[in-house]
Amino acid sequence: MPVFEMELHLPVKVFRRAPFIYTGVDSRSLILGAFSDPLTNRGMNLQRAFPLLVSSRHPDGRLADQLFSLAFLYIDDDERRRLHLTHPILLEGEGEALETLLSGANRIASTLGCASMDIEAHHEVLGSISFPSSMSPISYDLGKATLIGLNEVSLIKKGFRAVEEIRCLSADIHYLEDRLSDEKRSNEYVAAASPKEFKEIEKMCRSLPIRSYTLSNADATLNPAENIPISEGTTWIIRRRRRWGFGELTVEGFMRWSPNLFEAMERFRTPYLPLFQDILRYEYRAGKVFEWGFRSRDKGIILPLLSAAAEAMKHMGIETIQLGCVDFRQGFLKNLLEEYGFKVVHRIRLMRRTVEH
Amino acid sequence: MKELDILFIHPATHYRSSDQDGRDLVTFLVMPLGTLALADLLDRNGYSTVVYHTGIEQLQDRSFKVEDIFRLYEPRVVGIDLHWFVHSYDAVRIAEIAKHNSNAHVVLGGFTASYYAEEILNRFGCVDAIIRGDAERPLLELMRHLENSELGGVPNLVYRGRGVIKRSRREFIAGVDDLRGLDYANFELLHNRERYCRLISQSGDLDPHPWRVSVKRHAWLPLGRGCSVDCSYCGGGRGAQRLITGRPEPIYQPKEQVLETLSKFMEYGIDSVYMDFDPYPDRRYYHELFEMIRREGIDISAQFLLWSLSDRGFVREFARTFNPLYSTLTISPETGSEEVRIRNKGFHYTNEELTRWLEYAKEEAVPVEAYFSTGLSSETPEAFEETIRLAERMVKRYPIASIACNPLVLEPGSPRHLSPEDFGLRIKFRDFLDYYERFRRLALGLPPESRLGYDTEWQSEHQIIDNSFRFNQMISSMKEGFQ
Repeated sequence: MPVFEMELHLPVKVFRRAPFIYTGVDSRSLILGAFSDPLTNRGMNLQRAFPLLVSSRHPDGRLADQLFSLAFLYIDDDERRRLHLTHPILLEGEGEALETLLSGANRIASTLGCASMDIEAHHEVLGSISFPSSMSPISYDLGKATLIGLNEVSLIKKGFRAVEEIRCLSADIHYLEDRLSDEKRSNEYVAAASPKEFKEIEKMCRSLPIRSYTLSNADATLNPAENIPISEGTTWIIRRRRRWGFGELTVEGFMRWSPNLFEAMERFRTPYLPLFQDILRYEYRAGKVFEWGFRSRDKGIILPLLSAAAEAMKHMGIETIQLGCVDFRQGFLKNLLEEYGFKVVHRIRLMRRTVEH
Repeated sequence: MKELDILFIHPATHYRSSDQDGRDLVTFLVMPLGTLALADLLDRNGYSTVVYHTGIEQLQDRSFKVEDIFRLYEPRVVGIDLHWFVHSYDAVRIAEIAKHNSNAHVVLGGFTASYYAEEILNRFGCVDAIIRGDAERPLLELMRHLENSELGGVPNLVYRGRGVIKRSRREFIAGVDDLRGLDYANFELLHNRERYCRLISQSGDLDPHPWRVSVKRHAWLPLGRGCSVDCSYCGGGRGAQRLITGRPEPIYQPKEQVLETLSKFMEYGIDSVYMDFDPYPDRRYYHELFEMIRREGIDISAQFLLWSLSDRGFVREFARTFNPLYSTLTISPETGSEEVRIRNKGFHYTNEELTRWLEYAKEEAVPVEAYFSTGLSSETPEAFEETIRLAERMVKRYPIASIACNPLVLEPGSPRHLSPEDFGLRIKFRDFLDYYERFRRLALGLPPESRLGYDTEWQSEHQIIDNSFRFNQMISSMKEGFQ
């Protein structure tokens, strides 16, 4: 029986076994080999990121890396601390080291006073999943990553339960455009927002009642959307004139999309693509709406935004459009998208376990 | 107590915290690259050897005292590196402790010790000998000659013999064949090696971002010795090398040996290496080395310090060779003023050439670290404004992972130290004692008489220090959290 040990270490081989794009606030620091972003909570500065590496020790004393997961501490909307684990990457072996990873993570979560420890499990992956592919700041290229098989039944036996399912849907952009052009709709008030304009209305957008899923609104640092660069034509806003107002326009919805940076990563091989804004100018085959929000379930809000985003993508030569971060409670959106040719291609299950203190 | 042939001690720089507690803290934690290789060489030649790093020991255990080592070991020889001047006080302090707590022969080595060999031996009775320049063969021969006290036959040695300071006649300058036999990766000899490999900067307790969590293992990769140019401020340039080691031209480590070192680093789980040896702009050596690294399938990141600007081909080769997770290219334009750059840098370039190079880095998706200095010769306050403007442009337009501006401290043996008038300097550090005193005061928490060791014709020491504060504040305000 091998002996497993856990340490805090992000070895370079993780990037080879599971190429990823990092969108954390401290990407510059990570390049230099450190996580620098602390979580300030109840007057304390707490370590935010924990690179969990489990290795097995050979009889000659040598260590062989087995499993890796990046864990992030965050504060949920009810002010509770939670530890979020990304889907573990298999570096060697068959995944027997999972128990060591979970008990190690539990120790950290307990020390930090976390209410729970969550695992982000890529439950279903069909075809190519565009960037971003995670709820955390680390998005693996799921077509290449050697993920450990996470058996839901065995996780349930270990005390986890599924608390969220987040979906990503995908469609052929030409088909979508044809379907949308059949619709009679007004897109009078749909406009692209410049980075500066979006900054000004960001708060308003992020307070819309129907929104893309994020781990926490209270602690936005982990949200990959926070650090994905905004460039021309990637952020769309729909405004409407209030019935009772005098010409005042209100934000009714928004969508932000990104080209599939995993395609650029094949050429540029860097996890820090968001630092290289010119990267957005290259040719991409797929794009993803990764952040969105609507004031209501009104098709008249959603479809014009989708149309504008699709048109901008098509202009860049993109052929596949994806829309992510749809949580399982938002069946209306899934149904609407399916009407227009979208299919669910990616499901992330969030498995949660209460921390044993 | 265990008998030991040689105990190497790296003297981290101590300073006293300025708060009420007046805690004893450490900084400048990187060991000279040759220390482990020397230890390994002696070990392979049958001498029992251990390496202690006082800073790492203190970070591991705040109650650590150098005296503790002498309760564990009884060494015949204590070797203390005094390569960088920042260790001037601590190296001598440790020599005193070694003399007081053992019967060991105390030997110093490294550039600063070499440069000031006679003065150190004259002033500090706790130091028995100093090896000037390359130390491999001299140290081996010193071990052999200690028994018969025939130290005159040990090359590169300055020593005390019957109360008189003597210099041996023989000279040793390491050649490629000498370098070929060295092993820089024998971490087994280093006490608390795991903690040392977790270091990601020199700063130690002076780290401005102490909450940062180190997630990689890092090592310094030996690539050669010497330099082909003289920068006004550098104590390791061509002239200083000739003066201190006698080396006329740079030499590279054999490429096969570099590959072997990298393979050993990988066995130790090292993720990234620091590569700081780039004396010839054609970089033929590196094009070949990089190809060999790729062929061998060595998966490691690199922080490569470019001494001059490269062509685009080099940037591309670098990106193809190293794991991008922790890889950066580092440049040191030093100043925004082309005129000041020409006056001070051995390898200089125009701002337009710099911008073109930054475009290459951006197009090849390689993050850049950039370093500036202040206190350069001919740098006026107006010229420093050019530095600030250039840095601003770089941060706005290019993938800068890290950027900083440090006030230059006068380095012993640098052109500015040797001929201050030629460079418009009024110097305050001349002798070893000046450096010793500077760092003694730091260790005791006393205000320094001078921090940099000079004023220039164009700016006072105070102005120069203020420049760096202003620069670093400007960078912080440009991008919140930029580190």
